[in-house]
Amino acid sequence: MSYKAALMSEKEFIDAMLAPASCVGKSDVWWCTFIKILRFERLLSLFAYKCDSLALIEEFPQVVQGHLQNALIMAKRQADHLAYEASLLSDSISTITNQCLYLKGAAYSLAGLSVANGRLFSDIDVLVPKNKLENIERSLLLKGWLSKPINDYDENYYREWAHEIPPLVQTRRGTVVDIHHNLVPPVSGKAPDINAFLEQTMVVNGFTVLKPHAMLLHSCIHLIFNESFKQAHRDLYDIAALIHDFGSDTFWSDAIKLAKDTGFYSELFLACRYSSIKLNYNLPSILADDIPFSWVGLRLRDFILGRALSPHHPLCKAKGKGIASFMAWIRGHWCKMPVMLLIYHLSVKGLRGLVEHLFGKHIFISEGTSK
Amino acid sequence: MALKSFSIDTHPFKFRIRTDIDFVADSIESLYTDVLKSAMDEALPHYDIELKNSGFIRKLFKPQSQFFCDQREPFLPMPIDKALAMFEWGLNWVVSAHEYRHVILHSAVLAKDDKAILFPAPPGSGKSTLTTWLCHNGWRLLSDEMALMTPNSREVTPFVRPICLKNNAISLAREWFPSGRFSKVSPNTHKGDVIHLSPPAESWHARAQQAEVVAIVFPQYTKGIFCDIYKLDKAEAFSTLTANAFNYGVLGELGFTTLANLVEGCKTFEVKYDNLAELQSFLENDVL
Repeated sequence: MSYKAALMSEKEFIDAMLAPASCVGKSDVWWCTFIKILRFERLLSLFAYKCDSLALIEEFPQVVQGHLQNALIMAKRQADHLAYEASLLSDSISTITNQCLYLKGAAYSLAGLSVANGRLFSDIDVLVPKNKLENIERSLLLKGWLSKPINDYDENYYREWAHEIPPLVQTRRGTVVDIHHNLVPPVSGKAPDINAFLEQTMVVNGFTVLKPHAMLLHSCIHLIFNESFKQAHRDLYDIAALIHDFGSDTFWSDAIKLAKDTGFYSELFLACRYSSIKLNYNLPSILADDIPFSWVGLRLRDFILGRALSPHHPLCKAKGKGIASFMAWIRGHWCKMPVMLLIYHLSVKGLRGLVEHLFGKHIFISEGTSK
Repeated sequence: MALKSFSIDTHPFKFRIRTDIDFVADSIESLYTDVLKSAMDEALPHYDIELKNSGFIRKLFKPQSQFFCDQREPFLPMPIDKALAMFEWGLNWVVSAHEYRHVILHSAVLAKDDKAILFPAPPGSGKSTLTTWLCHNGWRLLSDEMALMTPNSREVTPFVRPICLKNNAISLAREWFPSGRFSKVSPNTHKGDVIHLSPPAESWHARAQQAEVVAIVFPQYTKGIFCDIYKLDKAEAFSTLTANAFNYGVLGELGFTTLANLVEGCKTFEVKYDNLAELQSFLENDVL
């Protein structure tokens, strides 16, 4: 006989996330599903952090306590380790350029912002001048940062069309760094004049990061201007936390101005829209009432993006998730590439997908490579 | 191939397992008899594990097994005849990738009267043969693979699991303990041929009973040397121990102080031997 796992609705998941005290007394079956979704969406340590602040952990079943304690230790360790790793990176990069801008999770943590609490990150994102990329890559190589093995097609994709070089891995410590020269791929034709962002930076604890309003805009761009929404749900919480901590009138007028100047107002609008709808908070009318789409256009986006930004764990139910994700994936590519290139890219990826489906998804991995 | 599921209560972690590979299900049922429960009786295991016969066309010509921990697949698929070894190594991975409340050492742990000895050793040193011998001769197995140390103490928590024997040790163990519960051989893995052996019932039954580490012994099976014993320098013991720590990097300072205190508070030896009875008598008379 086989057991059956319980499904959980998106609303039930988010309600528990937002009000951890409501989880006291839940059934074992409920916890089993909830923990899996949390882990999959990379929200386990954020939930653990919230429960720890509310002194709730001991109210939960033993097994849950163990998972939450482990997640807390891991998140704390990542933050400690990041500070060390970033200081080494900055030392190497500063011999070549004085522009080394930390982005996303690394920036939140290095700047000591509360959005970093309980937030895991898988890599360190930095932005450097494009003409210095080669020198920086070479200098990091000497310090043990090597390119991950990737296939020729993907290598070419990065080098020709992307806004970053292939990820570099520290061979001894396993840390991964993503080196960017822009916020979105130049091939999209939407890459902004990066100086507009470089003018909106601040130095905190010795590290250069974007000012909060520019951080918010970058987080929104990263979320919406993307083809993969597999683990995008977590970003909605980042956006909510930045807005909660910094959402003054000047913050909003600065964010909107920067978004309009650089051509990313719709990304700002959409990301904040779905974060606020799903996580149940209000946006100021200066943003909420300035809708950059027709009625139909907005409803279409609500259908595609609203669902693509739901948790993607199979135990989490959200209506129409599959088709919406597929449409979101097409849309993400559409934004990034001219149409002829898109057709080429999708046919290579699609053919690979078909072959992988038939022969197992590891067929393109050469023997001896581990994942 | 029917889908089978069950759960195992291997203290301190409970797993719920689902597999469509018949011999894996049979082997797990036999190896884990003492801690086996129905999957229906376990609503909140620590981890849900799935071992699947992979692929659509694959099944026909070169069947492979895939290991999943919930949605995550940490390894490349392996040929189906190695599926049981994959399952056992998979469980080790699951624990070492998620568990930070203990300092985890790659080491065998055996105890007598709740006084434990750690045997950290690289593959090929005869560690599992020694483990097999001792747990069938009055000692209690806490683990053949990993020591779960409570931070800043000498307290070790058992994680009782089948012993993994390799190559020549297989026939030796079968000869010594013909009534032991052995699995089928997983041939030609990266460690050679391997087989799993369920430890005696006493070890399973005491699986929640912690012990105190009193010594660290680095064993090295050496043909032609009866039993030579060397006192090991603390600094050397410490550096070898850190090289065998799974999550030392994640725990940082806590990992460091735990291992430093452990080495300080224990006797440390290196032994070269080819006679297990002699080694056992040294451990019982001079180490404990």
